[in-house]
Amino acid sequence: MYLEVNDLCKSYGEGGSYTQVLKNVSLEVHQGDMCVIQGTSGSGKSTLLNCIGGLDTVDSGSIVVDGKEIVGLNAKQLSDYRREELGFVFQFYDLVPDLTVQENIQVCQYLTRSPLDLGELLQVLGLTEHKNKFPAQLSGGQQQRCAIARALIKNPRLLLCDEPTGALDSKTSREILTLLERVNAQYGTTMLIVTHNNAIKNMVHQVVLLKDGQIHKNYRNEVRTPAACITPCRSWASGCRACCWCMHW
Amino acid sequence: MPPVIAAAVNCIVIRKSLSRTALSLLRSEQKASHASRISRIDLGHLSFLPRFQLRQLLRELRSAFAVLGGMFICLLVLMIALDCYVYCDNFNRRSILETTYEYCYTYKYPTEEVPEGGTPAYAETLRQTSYGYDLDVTMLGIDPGCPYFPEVAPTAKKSEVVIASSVAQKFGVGKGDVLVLRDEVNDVNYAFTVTDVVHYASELYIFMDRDAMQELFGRSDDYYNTVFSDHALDIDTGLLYATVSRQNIEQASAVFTDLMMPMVILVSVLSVVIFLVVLYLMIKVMIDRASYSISLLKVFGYCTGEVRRLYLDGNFVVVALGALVCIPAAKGLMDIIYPYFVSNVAAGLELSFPPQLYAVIYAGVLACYLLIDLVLVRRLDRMTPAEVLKNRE
Repeated sequence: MYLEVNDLCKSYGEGGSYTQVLKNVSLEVHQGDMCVIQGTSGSGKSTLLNCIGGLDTVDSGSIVVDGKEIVGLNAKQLSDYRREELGFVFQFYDLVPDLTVQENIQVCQYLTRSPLDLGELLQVLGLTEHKNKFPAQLSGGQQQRCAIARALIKNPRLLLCDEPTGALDSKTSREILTLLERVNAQYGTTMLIVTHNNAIKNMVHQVVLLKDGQIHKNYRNEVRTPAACITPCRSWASGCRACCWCMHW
Repeated sequence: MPPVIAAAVNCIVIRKSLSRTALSLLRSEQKASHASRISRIDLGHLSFLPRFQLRQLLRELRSAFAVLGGMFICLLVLMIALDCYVYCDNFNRRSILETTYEYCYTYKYPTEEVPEGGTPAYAETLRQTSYGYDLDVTMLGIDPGCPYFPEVAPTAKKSEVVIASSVAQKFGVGKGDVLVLRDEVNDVNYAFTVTDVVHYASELYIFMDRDAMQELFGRSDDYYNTVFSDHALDIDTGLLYATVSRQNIEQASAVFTDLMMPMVILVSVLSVVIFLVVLYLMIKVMIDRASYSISLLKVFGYCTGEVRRLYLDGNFVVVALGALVCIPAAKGLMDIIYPYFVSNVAAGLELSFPPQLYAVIYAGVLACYLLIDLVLVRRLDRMTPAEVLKNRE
């Protein structure tokens, strides 16, 4: 088991403004799985992601990532944890506007001693011809690809995606989801995707549905639907676990 | 004046910002301004760290220029204080060095015979105007080989003089130029050709051969009214106008330094305080503008030390290189302006700094930056990833 969350509780505020956002949330995610966390606004999805990402403290419970307990770590230790284990993809891309695509990716490449090959990553994500452009010169989909490349360059074990398609149109969203699918297959990256998008739950390994801070449903997909029709290319010929229309694991 | 400046800033800066359309404000659109174009230039094949620092610097070019402008103004203020200190110190030193005699007796009623052990001279006081001030110039007639002015070799002509460097500096004359001086008592102007300039900075002196000077002013041969000696002479005080000893000169010249030192210290401290405030505010603005990016870097796992290298170390280079330019520039400009401040002082102006003083000033600038750096690192430390987490629907 790569990620284990046990009886996680998180609240905000005091007195009249007290709100319990997460109530005894428990879940497990296998290594290499894509897991989507769904729920309505205010259900606690992003808070759960923040807690797993070491960006927010918890009131009680435990979070174990790759055998290491995250709860109770100090700020420096949490920073090291994010640096070594995690990659982040945000809804609004959050690229540095004054850096080129390549430089934005190098922001995370700088953090690791053994990054992925930048050229290969640019090629996989279809950014080679855009590497010297600035974010303002890119479309939304291209910016999100750049953000994904930035997250992946340090070869993280766990990729946390907070509404990765939230700011994109449907066609571009499909492209990004296809990309995430490919990345998961190629690099074996465990992914936690928080989203409102209902269509995503059919393409992932595991679905977690949050309601009022509690797990309402938690199941694995026996049959996954690919995000789009992907034409296999040569680089995928060997060792690829995905085929065109359906995936049997 | 301040309300006028405030009104001008309001009119020029704020009105321009408020003239944007509501839609562009909603969209937070950024115009492809000259500044943003500069920040996007191709930086070639630099590695990530210098590349990031350079981008940050290019993005905040205006703030960098503001820092350099503030530094230059603070250095100008500092140079006022240091020039004053150096001026007084040099005056003190030169006065002691250039006073080769132990006693100078100025006669009211000169005797026929020169006192034994004394060297005679003839002194007259003339006037000239400098920067609107009337200054007394002592014209000294000396005999050839006078031991108390060994560098002076006046010609025998009554139209030619040797001038002290203080006179050359004050009135802007040099070798070969004509110097016109006024005799206020007799209402006569004298025009002298300068044959040489000797290094003498503590007083305004011009030198002539004593015989030629006697002829010029219609005095008898061997006339004198001043006696220099290296020991005390037995002269009836009723015959003397004034007696000046070397000790008197040393004490008097030291007074200048004592009088001006509080002002020197105050202005120096003021310039340092202003520099610290300007530096802190400008760099703080740069950091606050980058707070979102800094927060993002912390989300990715950057520690405060790494963020400091990315966002603050570039400013150190700006300050270090800027100081190399601003210090000599400020010194040069103040050396041009300073004579106007002391235009009513009847002495030469030596404002040269010893090399060590430049090094101390440079070290001081860097020390000020490092102090501000220390304060701002704490600010960086307080920035959390929370800023990024707010940016979501």
